[in-house]
Amino acid sequence: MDAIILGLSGGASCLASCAPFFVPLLAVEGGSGRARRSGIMGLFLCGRLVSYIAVGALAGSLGALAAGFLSPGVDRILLRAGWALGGLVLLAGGLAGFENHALCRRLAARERPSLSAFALGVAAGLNVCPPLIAAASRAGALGVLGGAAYFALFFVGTSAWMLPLSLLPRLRAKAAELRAVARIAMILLGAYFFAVLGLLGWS
Amino acid sequence: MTDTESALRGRSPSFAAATAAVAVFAYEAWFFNAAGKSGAALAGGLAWAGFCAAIFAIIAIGGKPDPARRVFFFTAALAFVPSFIAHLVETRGRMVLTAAEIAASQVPFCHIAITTSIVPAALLHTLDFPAQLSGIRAAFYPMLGYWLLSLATIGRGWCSWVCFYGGLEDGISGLPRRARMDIGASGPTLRRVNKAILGFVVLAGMATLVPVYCDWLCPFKLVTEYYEPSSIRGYLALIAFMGIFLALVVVLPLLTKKRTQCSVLCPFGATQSLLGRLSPFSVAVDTDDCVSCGACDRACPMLAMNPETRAKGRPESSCVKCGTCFGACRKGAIGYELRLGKRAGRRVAPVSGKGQAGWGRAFLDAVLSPALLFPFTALSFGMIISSGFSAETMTRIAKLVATGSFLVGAGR
Repeated sequence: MDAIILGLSGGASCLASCAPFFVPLLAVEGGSGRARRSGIMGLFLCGRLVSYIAVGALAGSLGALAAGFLSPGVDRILLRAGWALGGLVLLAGGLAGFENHALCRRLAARERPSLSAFALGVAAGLNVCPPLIAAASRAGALGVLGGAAYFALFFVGTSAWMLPLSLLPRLRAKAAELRAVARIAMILLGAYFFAVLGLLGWS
Repeated sequence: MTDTESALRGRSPSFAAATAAVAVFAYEAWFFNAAGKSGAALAGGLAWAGFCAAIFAIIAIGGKPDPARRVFFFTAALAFVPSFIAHLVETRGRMVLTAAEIAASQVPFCHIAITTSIVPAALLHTLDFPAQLSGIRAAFYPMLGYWLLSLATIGRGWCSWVCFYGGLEDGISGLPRRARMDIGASGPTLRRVNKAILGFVVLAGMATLVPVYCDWLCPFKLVTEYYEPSSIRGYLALIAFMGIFLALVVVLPLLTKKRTQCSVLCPFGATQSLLGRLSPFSVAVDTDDCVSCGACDRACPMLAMNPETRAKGRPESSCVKCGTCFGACRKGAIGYELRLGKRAGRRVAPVSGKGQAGWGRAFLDAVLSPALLFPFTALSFGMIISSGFSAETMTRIAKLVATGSFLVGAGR
């Protein structure tokens, strides 16, 4: 219960950290039916759950040393890995929308929105935000399985903030325009996340 | 009958309405620029008030915003830059911002940062933009108020009547006699890029709690203040600011006669476009009178006019309500429109002052006509926002002439 409440109370912060990863993807699918968008959101959340369970197990395995997890070092590595992975996926997704170039055509042919959503979820789960740090410090006292379970419940609490976004109304009239804008935003976000935040670490 | 009414009776209602509006505007300009001042500050305030009132008189009586609007807008922007830089030099001895000063929030809040700040502020109760005054919130909330007021009144008219950054670009784009490069066909792409940049800076700002636009993209750092280039990152940012300023604010506007930075880059402008429907004023094309000559397409500095929008009778949402197209249209088919409640979408015809209604009713209609009401509202907004720095620059110029120094106090 403690984990769910922590997730719910810190959910706004998680939403701010994770939304940049999935909002562009949802915008690209703005003209799709609710079922498809919910599916995309579901896969994104699955990816996030995988990351959270891994982080929870890691924190649990560290035990009393979990505080060390919070020290500058491991969290920076996780953060930069998340930025780099998310940036690459966003960059590829954005470029796939421009089919007048050979590289973009190749990316478009291999584009798998479901896989992208899952990978973006994994990347977003590595984005170490304040509620996640608080959860990690508590999971440290619970062992590997306990830590993983704690984070799974923490995930439930935080996800409550994200689910409403998949219920946004379908945009039929402006879908093509929204998709085009979202693809460009994905390129910009992808380049920034990957190069500036991920590779260079200039956050 | 009062003396004023007696004087006005001899004129047409529309001329009388314009004259009355000019009188009200002149009082307003005096109140915001000169009231309560003395000495050199009074002289500077009166100079700016007189200038603004003269601009409004030309617009109100002439019936077309440009070129008077552009003269006001460019002058206000030119007045902003030396005033801002002089303040920096006087208070801290230089334009450059050190990391310590940024950390201590010694940065003036800027309206463009509203777009990146508002989401984190609403979601996390955290502001990602450092700002001075008596605390971050003291700087954020007044700017938020100005922004909301602009949305409810002039909408994207902010970008052609108020924004002291846009004024620089508007003036520069108006300098050449003709365009040397035609980017008219790129309008849809540029609008998409503008919205995408807004999405990018908002989302990246949410994720990192950093004002990404201010850190990497703002071209106006170069004419206001910029981060100290003490690291590779600092040098790269400075190169980005310089490159974007030269390309989008100077070179491309000179070549294309379009406001490229405002059309492509500015996230505040994109926000105003997206929320433009909140403003009761818009620009409308009378499709019956329009002969599809395309003169307005070529004249529009924001690429908001094209055959499709002309056919619909309404420009793209990127229209900044500058009125440049009014003068370009030989048929006089373009004008301001006021949409209120159930009358939304109704074209309000220009008031001629002739017809069945009595003089008083015709006068009232003329006063409330969008052709007069919008320039009054927009120029009032611009005049009030610019009152501090423009009047001060006038005072400083007088000081420069008298003493040979533009600065006052410690920085002199």
